[in-house]
Amino acid sequence: MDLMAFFMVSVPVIFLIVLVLAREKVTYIITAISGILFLAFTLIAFAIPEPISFPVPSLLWRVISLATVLFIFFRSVRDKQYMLSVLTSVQALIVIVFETAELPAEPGIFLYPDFREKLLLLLGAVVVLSFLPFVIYLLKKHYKNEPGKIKRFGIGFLLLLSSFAGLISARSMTGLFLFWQWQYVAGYIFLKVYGVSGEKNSFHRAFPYLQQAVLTLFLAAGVIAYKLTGSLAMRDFFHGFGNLSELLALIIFVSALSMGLLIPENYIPWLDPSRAVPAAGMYLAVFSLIVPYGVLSKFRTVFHNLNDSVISLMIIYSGILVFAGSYFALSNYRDRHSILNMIMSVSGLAVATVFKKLQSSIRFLSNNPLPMLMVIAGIVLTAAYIIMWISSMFANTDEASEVNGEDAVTSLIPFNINFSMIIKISYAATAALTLGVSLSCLK
Amino acid sequence: MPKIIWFFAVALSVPVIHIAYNYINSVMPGQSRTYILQPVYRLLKLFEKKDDGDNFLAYFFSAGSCLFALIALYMAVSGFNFLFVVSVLSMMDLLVITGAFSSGEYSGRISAKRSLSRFVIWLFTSMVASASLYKAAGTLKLNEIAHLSWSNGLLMNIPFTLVSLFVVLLMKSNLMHFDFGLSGDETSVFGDALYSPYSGWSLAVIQLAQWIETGVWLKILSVFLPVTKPISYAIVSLLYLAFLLLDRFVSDVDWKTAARLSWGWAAGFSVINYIYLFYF
Repeated sequence: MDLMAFFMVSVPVIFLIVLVLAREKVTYIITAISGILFLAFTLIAFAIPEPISFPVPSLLWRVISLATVLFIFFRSVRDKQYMLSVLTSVQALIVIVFETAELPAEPGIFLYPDFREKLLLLLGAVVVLSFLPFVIYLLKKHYKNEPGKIKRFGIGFLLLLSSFAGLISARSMTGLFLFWQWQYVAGYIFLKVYGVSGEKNSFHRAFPYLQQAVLTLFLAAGVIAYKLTGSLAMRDFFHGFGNLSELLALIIFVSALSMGLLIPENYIPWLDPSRAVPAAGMYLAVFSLIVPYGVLSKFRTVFHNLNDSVISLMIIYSGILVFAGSYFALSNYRDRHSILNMIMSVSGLAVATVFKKLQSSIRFLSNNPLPMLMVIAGIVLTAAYIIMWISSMFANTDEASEVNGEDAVTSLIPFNINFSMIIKISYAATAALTLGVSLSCLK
Repeated sequence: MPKIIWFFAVALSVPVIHIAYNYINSVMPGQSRTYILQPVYRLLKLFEKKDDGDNFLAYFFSAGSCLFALIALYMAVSGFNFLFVVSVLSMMDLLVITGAFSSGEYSGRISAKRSLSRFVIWLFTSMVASASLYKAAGTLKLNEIAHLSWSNGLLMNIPFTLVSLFVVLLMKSNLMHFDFGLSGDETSVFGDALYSPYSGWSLAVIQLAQWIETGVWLKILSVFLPVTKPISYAIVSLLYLAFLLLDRFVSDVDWKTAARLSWGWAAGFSVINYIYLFYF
């Protein structure tokens, strides 16, 4: 594999081991150093265009994948989340049987970012380093008497760096599965640090179930892809998967969206808004914006083979994300979290551009009236959100009495439309249509 | 050179339209006779009047909105990209609306909310209209669109888009059933609660900004007509004057009805034209 990619993945893991063994006082130093080193490795990767070969046996990644799944399994049993236990046990079974029976060969270079992916890594490194001072400041302010949480944050942050580097650099389905599980663990740790407990907006258990269910499907899709093409590397999927192309593409698309937290209505309601906004912003900018785009871009060779209807529906879904992000931001413009909804809005645009210039008759925006109108509506609501947000700094009286209990959107648009319900129905309808078209291609 | 001439011509044409309106209005039976140059006279008196001086931000918002209006006018007469002009006009609106919020007065904030509702409608309409324009013309540059209108009869492909943009002009001027104003009769800044933070020269600057913005929209609309530039601008200006006069005979509606009508006539028509261009 590429040496720089290996460093970007492994150095945070080494620091993680040090942090686990050391006292919590070194957390801030370690997080700062690891962030700076991550940026440095990214810049060095730019300076060296060709990969520096560093042989790592593929058995190592298989063992780590299995160990990660087993860790999540035992944790879920301890937390009494038995649905997760079932899903992770299925994953472990697939990994063991597949690896034992097939002994599939991994790509020669397991981790290597091309030029575009190096740009994404650089962007992520800059985002992380930009947010880190604010995150550390709030940690010192609110958690100075809770050293356990500070240490947990450090562990979560280091896993965030590793999983981000791994997801962007991965060349095979195994790599994506492994680093998505690391991302899942990092999110779980952040929730332990910043989660609001005992309130009605506490973390919804359904969402991690959804993520693990989707990852189980993704793992199965990887096995099927190997059976059909003889390879686990995405670059070898350019002929598609025959009759199964649409269905497998749908699984990949849903995996990228659900791991990127781009499905639920409320996005991030369960983090303490007074303390978690910079940390949530950092996590979302990396895993909701950069990673879905980076991962879906790896499968463009697969998407070239898709039916136009499926591509069109995926573009429509992306348009819904753009509108939904700006709608939720405007509806909650007084909430500190509202600006984070803009990340979902921009993510929708990023996801849609993956389908740009594909070999199909459908071209993003110019040939599709519905997503075009949704994107325009999203941009308009974004502009309205900016005005309301800036204006709220000047207005120093409570505006609740003026809007008579309506949210900002219904006070501006004089129709009694339940946009929230429409967004939910649109998500479900587009997903159902995409699934239906995919299954119809199996005939 | 022609750009500078057009710049001043458009900037001066709107006060001339209001002077003409004022004169015609005064000769109508039942109306009191007024000084013909009253709109300009009131503007000049405002510059002489001493400002209240207790809202510093008012100076910033008024000057900023006028500056953006002037930039938008320059871009419009130079034939810049239509979306560029729209984005500059939206910056102008941002400053006006935020300025109304800064006033601290209840009527100002209510008016700002209604203006924000109007902003959502006109921005949505403009963006869908630009998508239709690009689909029909292959370009968004106003000078190229004017050339295509003259040579290829572009108007035949985008009639509803033109209507929707004209309705945007009516919305901006609070005319007909598209009146979003808090106090219904004035077609200027006087009496409109949206401009309550301003007085003295800042109010005069806001009035200038509003006139220049009207001129920008008239110039944009004039590029769609299949005649030469001066004649098309004259036609659109006369149409605007006609609606100014017609507004006297149309009963006021409440602002929510005005907003719904605006959604239908402005946003709805632009969407219809866009879908028509996509499918046919």
